[in-house]
Amino acid sequence: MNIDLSEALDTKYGRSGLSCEVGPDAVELGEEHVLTIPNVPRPDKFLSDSFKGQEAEVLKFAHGTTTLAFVFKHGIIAAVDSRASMGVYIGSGTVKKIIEINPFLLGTMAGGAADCSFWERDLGRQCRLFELRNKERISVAAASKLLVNSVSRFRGMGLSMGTMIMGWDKTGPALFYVDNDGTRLKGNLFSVGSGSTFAMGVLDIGYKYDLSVEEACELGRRSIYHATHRDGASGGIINIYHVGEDGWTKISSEDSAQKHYQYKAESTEQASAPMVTS
Amino acid sequence: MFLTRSEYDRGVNTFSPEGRLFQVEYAIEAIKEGSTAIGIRTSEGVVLAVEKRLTSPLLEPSSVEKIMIIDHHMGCANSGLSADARILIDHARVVTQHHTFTYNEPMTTDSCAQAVCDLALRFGEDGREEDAMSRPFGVALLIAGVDEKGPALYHTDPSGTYVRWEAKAIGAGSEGAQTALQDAYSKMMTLEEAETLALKTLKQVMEEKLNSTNVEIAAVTAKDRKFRIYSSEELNQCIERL
Amino acid sequence: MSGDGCVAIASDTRLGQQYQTIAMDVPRMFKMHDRLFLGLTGLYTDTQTLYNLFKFKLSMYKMREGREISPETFANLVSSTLYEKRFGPYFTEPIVVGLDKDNKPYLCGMDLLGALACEPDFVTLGTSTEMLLGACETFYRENMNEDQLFEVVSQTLMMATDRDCLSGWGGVVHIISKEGITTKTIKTRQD
Repeated sequence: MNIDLSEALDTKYGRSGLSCEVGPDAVELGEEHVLTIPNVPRPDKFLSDSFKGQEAEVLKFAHGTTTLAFVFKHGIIAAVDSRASMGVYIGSGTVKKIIEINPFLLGTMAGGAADCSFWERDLGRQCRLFELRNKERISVAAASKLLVNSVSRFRGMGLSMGTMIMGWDKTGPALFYVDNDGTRLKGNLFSVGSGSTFAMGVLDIGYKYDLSVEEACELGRRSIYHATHRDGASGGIINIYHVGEDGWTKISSEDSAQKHYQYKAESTEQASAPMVTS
Repeated sequence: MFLTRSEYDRGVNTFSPEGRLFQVEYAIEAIKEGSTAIGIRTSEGVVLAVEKRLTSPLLEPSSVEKIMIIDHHMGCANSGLSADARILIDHARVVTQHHTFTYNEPMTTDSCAQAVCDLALRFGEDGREEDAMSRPFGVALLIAGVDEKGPALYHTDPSGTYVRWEAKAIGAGSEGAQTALQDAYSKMMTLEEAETLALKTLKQVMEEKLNSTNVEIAAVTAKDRKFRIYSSEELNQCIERL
Repeated sequence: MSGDGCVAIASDTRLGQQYQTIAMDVPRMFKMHDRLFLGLTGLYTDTQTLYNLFKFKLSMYKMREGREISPETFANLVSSTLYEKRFGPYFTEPIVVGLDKDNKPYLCGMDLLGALACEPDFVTLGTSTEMLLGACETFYRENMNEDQLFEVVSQTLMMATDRDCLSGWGGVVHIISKEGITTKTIKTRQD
């Protein structure tokens, strides 16, 4: 039985006393869940060595992505696209890239789809246990630290995850960036994924701390839209979430194609309207 | 039973010639020393009510936890050694969370009771299992939960037995309370009637006068599938109905 | 592919090693219970291993919980099981189809690490997944009855496998509805 969280991730060493050369071959998660690791000298190279070419490509599932989140006066906005690409093939156009960890915590997903959803679900489990044991909600800082600790055990072994963990705790809104290298950064504005540069460009221009909730949602939506337009690996549905004092709410879920024509119509309307002079 | 005390009551891994495991039986005795806890199942939900023994007026009542939440839809009351209860309940929490993690569905009350009893049986003197206990757990639990089959109340004891009950009392006053429950229980009860019956029964068997600090009450309802420990205002309302 | 109160799963029956066809009678679909099927594309040894593993896990689930697993729950179980082998995965991409307790179709595909992708209409996986997807998008209609669903699914499967060197050599379609399971084999090209 594991009571201590640090014990919950107990590393077991090689079966027959070969532990020094062989490294860990299984990592326990909680009670029964065990992640097995190939029993070879360099488990991190196991996949790429054994299956040169094709499989490595499969493992790049869902690499193309645009996700963003920012803190403002009334909480946090998270905005994401929904495209999952495998190479240039669009695997799915309707992926949920915002993971609802619990009513006060959200995580975004960029990198390997399986890696992100598994570890953020695992985070949900750990946060719930924290809540039951300590009778209070976990802080965003602590939650993001739990996630970093989980993935750090597999550093250099090919996990692929770039995520933003956000929520509202005693300290107010909080936003963290966490990735598979073990990076954990607190900040007010992040964008992750292949389309992040495009999104960041739009976001930086429109960002002000004093935005209203509607303005902030629209800024997030527009930033993602521009990224889906310019980045081939991003696209599909634009999902917007708002994190407020009472937890998160899903604001909208709109097709980027429709948004494109709507924005285009609006901009031509503006262009043809007579200039207002003061 | 104490007349047959012999060398067989020293080890947990040795049966007596009559086929008994004395240490397990003694563990069950330990519960009869514990504070009284009552659980009542109705079609609307399950009510748990417990007596809190406040040995000193200087004791902070809120720190005595006799009812604990396992998951959103499940909770339990305990009687016996509270320290052992903590270990069992933490196990139940880990197991329910693990179930949710693997299957993305809430665990059933039956499975949870089973999981608790799996741990209750993991004791032995050899210490081969790293974190196993060297003795039986001296605690009994009343597990209340709601799943797709409806509300359910389970009783687990140190022997690792788990049984479903309509109404069950454990602890020091259990004998009297159980008889009282048997007389007054009906399948048609509402949740509110169950709250009243639980408190009334508790009042009968408690040595001290029942008030809002020395009892605790909780319920899980079939409607919203949420387990909730009552606030002191809600508890007072229940007490006023007596 | 989903229909109105029914759901279909179909696969070809070829087993091959590169371009060499080894067997023509190996469907990749397995009945897990009366309202649930599991499809396992990819490396056949992993298909077999996983089928046996899930048969075992499902028996355990049924005994412990005293009920049949729901399709959605099963999909989550498959997903977490696949992720356990994150660093040396099974080379198989599963599809889970079934009817839930309200007779609503449930379909879900995932990659070899267990990333879930649930769709309301259709999911395709395997060597001719792109072609299947194209055909599905053309032929799929909402609320098809069992016969229409069978027609669309078999046409889709035949069209796609006829354009894939590595698929074909016969096909099998299972339709799950509240009345039960109907299984039909389809005659296809043998080259």
